[in-house]
Amino acid sequence: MKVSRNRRAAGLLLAVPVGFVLITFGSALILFLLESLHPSTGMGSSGEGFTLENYGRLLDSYFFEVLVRTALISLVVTALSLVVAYPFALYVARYAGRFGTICLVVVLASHGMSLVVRALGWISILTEGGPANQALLALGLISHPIRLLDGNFALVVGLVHGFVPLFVLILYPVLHAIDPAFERAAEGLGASRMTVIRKIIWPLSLPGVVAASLLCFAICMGVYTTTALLAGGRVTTFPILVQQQISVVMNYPFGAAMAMALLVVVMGMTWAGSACARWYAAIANP
Amino acid sequence: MIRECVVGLLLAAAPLVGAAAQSSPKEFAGQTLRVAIFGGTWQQWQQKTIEPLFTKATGAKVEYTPGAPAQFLAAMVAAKGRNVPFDLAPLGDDLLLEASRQGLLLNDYSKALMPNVDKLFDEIKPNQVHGPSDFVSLNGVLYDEEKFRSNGLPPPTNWEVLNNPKLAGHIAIPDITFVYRIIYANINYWKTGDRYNLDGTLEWLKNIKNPIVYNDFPTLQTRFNSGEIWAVLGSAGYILRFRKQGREMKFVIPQSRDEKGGVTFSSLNIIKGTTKARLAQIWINLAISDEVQTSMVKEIGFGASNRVVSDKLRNDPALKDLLIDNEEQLKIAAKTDWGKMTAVLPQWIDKWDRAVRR
Repeated sequence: MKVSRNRRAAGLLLAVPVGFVLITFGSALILFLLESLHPSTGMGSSGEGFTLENYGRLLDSYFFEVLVRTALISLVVTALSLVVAYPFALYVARYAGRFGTICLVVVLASHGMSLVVRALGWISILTEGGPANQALLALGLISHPIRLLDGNFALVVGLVHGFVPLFVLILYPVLHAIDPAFERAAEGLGASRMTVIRKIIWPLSLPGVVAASLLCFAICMGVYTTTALLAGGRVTTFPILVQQQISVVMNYPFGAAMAMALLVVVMGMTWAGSACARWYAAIANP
Repeated sequence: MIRECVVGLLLAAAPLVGAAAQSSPKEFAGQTLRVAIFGGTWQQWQQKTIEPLFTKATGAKVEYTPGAPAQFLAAMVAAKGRNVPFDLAPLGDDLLLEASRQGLLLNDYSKALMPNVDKLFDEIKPNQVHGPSDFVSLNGVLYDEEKFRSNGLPPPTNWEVLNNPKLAGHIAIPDITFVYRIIYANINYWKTGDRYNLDGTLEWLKNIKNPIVYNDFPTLQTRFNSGEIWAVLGSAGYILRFRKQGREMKFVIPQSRDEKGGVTFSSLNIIKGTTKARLAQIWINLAISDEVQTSMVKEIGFGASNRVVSDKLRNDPALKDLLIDNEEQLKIAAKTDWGKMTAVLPQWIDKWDRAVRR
């Protein structure tokens, strides 16, 4: 009797946040889906009736090409962010001591900075007269300034800079929670520091790595501001196409269809990534 | 002498006094005018110049909605004349036709509330499509005179000059989704005779090696400051901000066949459904007054829509590039059919993305 009352109370308590999420997020998705099924009558208005025409337009190979490019950029950014963030988070969580707190504050401060300010900072650094070119010239690696902006390089650099703090913030508690006794036991049995990391810490931190990677990838697929500022109007990603349709052409139904397509692809890839991680965990820990 | 000065001052102030005389501060006390506005420097400048004059004349408050004209139009379309989110909005000639077609603007103006309208160039006075214009923009090529001279390049009075290989990597062009589509319409006209055929621009672009494509002013300014940009396709209004870097910048509208067309204008429009139409007209009257227009040219770098101010400032060598020479330029601007430009925009963006972006 008491258990059932507790369950009912818990259900009531959960109803509010769950209802809020369903109403706010769910209704927005339904509205977008409905909008994508209407014909466009131009300049921000849509016509009566339903059509699949907007989705039909997406079958053009150009959109597929842009979608693949967006996914590739997101994968590269996710992988590089992990490569940079994991050792840093490991150091901060397990070896830095009090200095680790300072490192975390620095990362948090960087994460709190506006995307626009960060991008403008990178433009100043990567421009032809900027410090990056000056350094390459001073090192004798180039004989005249090269164009570092306006392409995938600047975009990836800017995105990795943005996502590393997110990775660190997710990985830090996971790495910090691993019991040091495992490490000591392995070292006592003669394992080197690298072996301990490879055989003990990495497998135990894998759930955090997967969570951070999937989150980073999903967000990266939808990034607009950094692409608009750092790719210099020379790289097209799917969010750029969505923005063009919504803000410039004001073809809301087609923009909504693009956004829905992007959402489905992101959800599909996230599910696939998650399934791969489960499979890897199963074969690594039979 | 003193009497002449006093009479002169009274005459100059007459339009402001006239507008204020039609209304009393009490009539508007406690009311708030909601103004849609370009954000950033433009908003700061309006808060500094127009708002104090407006508050003094009416006793009303001002609430700003910063954004881009396309967003304002989208909000107006969504509101459909009911509960519009602002009373007054700036729209460029690219959006006015659509706003007018959908019946979103109030075109009933009182001359008594807006006596300064008489000072506007004829072509941009309010009509059934748009409200009074508060600024004109000259769009063409801004170039670093010293860099051009030292590289043996002539001023870009025609578009072909920019195809010179010495300029590779040093030309900044606006993205097709940015505001300067009129420039590409002119290049299209020069290359093909058809303003609406983007193939002309894309053909011309094939000979511009490694252009810098910009989509916002802060990025352009940051890269300009680094020294990599020698020429910019854009608004003459940028020239004041570029000159602050100590570089001798010039502006020219290149010849396109039989014309030099590159003028666009923005107008201040009262939104249908507002209950603050009288307040909005007082705001507009101040925005096109001699005092505000002079400040706009000198501080922001936009061309005056007020003919009196334009004629007066044209004698200043530092400002003459920002101002239209004569009414003829506005007549050439009127040749552009913005309804057609809007209709071809999706195809332009699609072609541009496939040709210029990767």
